[in-house]
Amino acid sequence: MNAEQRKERFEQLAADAALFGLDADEARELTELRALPELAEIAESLADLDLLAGEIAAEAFVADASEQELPESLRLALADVARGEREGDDRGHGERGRGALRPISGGRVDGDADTERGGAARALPWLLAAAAIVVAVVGWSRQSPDVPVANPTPTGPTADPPLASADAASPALASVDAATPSSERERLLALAGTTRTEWSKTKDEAARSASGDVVWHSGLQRGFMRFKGLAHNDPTQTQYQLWIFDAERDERYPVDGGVFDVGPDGEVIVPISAKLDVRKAKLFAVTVEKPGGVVVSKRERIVLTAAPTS
Amino acid sequence: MTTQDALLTRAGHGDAAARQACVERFGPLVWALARRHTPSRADAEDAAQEIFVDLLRSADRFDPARSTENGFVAMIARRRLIDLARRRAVRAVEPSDAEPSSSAQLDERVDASKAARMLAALPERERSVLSMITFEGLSQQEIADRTGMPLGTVKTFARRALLLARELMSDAPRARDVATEVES
Repeated sequence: MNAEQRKERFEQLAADAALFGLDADEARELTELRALPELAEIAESLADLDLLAGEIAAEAFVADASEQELPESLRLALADVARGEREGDDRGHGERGRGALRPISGGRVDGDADTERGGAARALPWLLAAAAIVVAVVGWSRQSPDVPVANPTPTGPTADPPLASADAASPALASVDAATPSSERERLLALAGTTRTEWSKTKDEAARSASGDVVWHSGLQRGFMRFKGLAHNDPTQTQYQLWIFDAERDERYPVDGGVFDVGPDGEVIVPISAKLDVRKAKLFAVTVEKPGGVVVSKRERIVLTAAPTS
Repeated sequence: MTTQDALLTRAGHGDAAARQACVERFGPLVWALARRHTPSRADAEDAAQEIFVDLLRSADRFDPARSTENGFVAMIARRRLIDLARRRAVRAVEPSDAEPSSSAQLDERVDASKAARMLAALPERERSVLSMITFEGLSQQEIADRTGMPLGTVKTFARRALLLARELMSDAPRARDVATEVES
């Protein structure tokens, strides 16, 4: 290959890289050509070809207003990304599968790995729970006989006042004006298909002054818990954990909805972090567990429950 | 625009509000590109999220002297979309369930900016190929299938188009000459 052929080959590979991408062999060849002194000048001049392709692609978008509407579900998911929920996770979607949206953490819900959460322990306690959701509710009630029936409220936009985040552990969250858990919750509430169900408290001391609700959208696999007056927990001693009973899953194994803390003021909005897809949520239940949460709850301290009607 | 003013720069420096604002400003662009480069809406949603991860990681590299913010975002998006397309062993014939853009439609949309004037100045075949790549997200093979051109010819036209576009986008005398020549 003479000098002119090398130059043309380099231009072709540089253009291909910007427009179509290269396979491993082509990428290696481009790297080798770029290192040649005779091509140094042109290599520098072609360094921004992919930026140029971007400018051209952006141009069409700017001129076409019909494309400028972002789907609401994607907006919520991208807000998760912007909050850093998916940093370090730019491949695949784990067990949620393609198209599923990851829940936002808001800094309070325990993310993922916990050494206490191996698979081996998922056994007997939930085996005692009911095989159907009604039985599940009864099962929970047996632990706390005074659990009242949850009081679902109609779906739709609400005028709940924004709550101050009790999330002392994530001060950055409070500075996010564009999308706080409160605003995201409001946005979710405005969507068709979102359910809002008020918490029903048990006799557990932590729930004595507790109220609030749980908001859930099955299609988006996204939701928020709101609490007022729930007892402050010391994360070094105990943490709250959400469990979600799915009507389409084995009732013995409710879905772990995440671990969270409540600050001294007792008010907090907590994004739900379901570890598995919940196809039809029938019951939300909050327990008190040891720090980090557990794989299987002994149901020794059930604090709140909420049973959506749909 | 200075570097300090740029939303991308602020987002790249960890400004939480700026990161969220990026969703509103650049989300629709990312979504539009993802729709064009992926075979389904679900793929596009996944791709858009991956693009935003890339974008926020790379935002601090944005240089207003080198590109517009939209151009930078589109570059990041295209890199990811090309990577995703290459990883898909078999790609659907239709690039997305969105309406494909025709060259005629593009002629109507692209009318004002520097990039638009550049595109208008390209020879017809080069402009057509470049439009199919950047606006519709077609692969080389898809362009070959649509136009009937051999694959090698598609690559050649694509290369010529991009290199000419680069010259036209610059203020080099040769570029102006080319533009004048093409327009005349």
